[in-house]
Amino acid sequence: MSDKLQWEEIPLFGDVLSADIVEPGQNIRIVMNNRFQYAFLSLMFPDMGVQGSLASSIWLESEGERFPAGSPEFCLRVGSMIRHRGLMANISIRENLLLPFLYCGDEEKLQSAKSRVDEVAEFLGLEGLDTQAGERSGYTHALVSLGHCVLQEPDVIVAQEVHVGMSPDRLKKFAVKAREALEKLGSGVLYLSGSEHEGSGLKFIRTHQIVDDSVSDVSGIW
Amino acid sequence: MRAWHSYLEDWNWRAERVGDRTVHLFQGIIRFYHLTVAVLGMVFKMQWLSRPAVSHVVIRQIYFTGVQGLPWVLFLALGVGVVVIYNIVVFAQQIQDMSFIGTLMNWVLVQEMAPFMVSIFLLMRSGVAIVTEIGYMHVRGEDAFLRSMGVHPYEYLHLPRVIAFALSGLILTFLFVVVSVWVGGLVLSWSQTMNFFEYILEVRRGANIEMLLVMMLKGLCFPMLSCMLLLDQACRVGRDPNQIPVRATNGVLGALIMMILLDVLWVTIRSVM
Repeated sequence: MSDKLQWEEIPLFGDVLSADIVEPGQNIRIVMNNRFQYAFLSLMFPDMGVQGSLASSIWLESEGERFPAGSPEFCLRVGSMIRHRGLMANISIRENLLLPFLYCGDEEKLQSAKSRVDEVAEFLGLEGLDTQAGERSGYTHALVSLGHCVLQEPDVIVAQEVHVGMSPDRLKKFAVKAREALEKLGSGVLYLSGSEHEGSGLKFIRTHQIVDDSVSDVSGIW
Repeated sequence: MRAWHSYLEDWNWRAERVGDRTVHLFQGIIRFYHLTVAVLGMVFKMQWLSRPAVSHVVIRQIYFTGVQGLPWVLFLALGVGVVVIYNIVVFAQQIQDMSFIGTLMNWVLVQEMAPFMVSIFLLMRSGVAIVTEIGYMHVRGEDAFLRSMGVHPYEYLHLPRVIAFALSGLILTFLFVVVSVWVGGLVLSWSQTMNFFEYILEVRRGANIEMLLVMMLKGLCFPMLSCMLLLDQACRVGRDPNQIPVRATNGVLGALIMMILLDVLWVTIRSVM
């Protein structure tokens, strides 16, 4: 039985995102400006802060269980590819790739990920795994995000337009790797885009459009 | 009439500022309280021990805060601690009451100076680093990245630093006292101010378990609470890198004032009891 990402009607700055389900192998797109994208992402991965409260309007249905957005189970089962949010600067690339497994405390999952990390890094073309990540380009952030998804093997991936700002040759390389990885994983993708004319190359079964001309678009607020 | 209006507006503006600051102060205290409770809750739940991601950071932070700071604390103990002991002994000799040595050493060096000096040192050396490091993580959006990976930022970023500060504070305070007392005694005997064994006897006479407990409590709590305050300030950097130096200054000064206030509170409680 596979995981399904679901959400209820979500009000977003005066507009409403209608309820939907993302199942494995299905790609759904939400077209909205950056501000809405980050608002949506903050519902998906909320700041639990000191209260530890979890949003219940988004959840993952898995084997009859319901995991609310932001819960450890949810984050471990839903892959994420967020623009320029792919790695931590002060740890190595290897630790970055293994971070969710090093944190979850499941020894079996950790050993499995450790045994595959070199193979995944080779597939992605990531070099210098044991050097500190430091400041990296959007391309490396995107590759590490993709690496997380390949290691996690989620049924559903939430992806933003991570390719925005890449040079044409890197964009081409990334698109090939991402397509290959997604085909292998067979995951469903919830794609957050700023435009209907985005260049992901994914085929979408549904597109939601959230428009609010009264709000100016700002980037990088999340 | 116009002058009267202008006068009233001035006072209104002042009252608003006082009100704003008071509200901010209370908001800060509440935020600090919640942060402290949340992080201490995580420390005592002990889940971090089974998470290699967190325990690796704990070890790194202890190394950075405690081990790398050790030579500096020893240097401080040799400089400041020895001078204090020398002065205490000279003072006791002047008033011709050697029993003062143990008592003064207990009050001045062990209970007050050692925890305070070590906490100030940790604040200067590691405190600024904490605000800068965590602040830049917020600027780069790494807190959001952690959340998307299911990693609780408090457990991964805050808890290791709090543990490192608390443990390092405790151990470094103890070492500060030990080095000050022993080297102080050697300096006294070398300068023929006092016989070493006589000095040790006086120190032993003034020492008691309560003194040690107070030293340990202050050595643990001062650095730990300072670290919480620094982390609270670091979280307020948001996405604006210009806030980093502002928050670092606020954090260090705030922690310093908090330690002084806690010390005053402690002395007041003891004098009442």
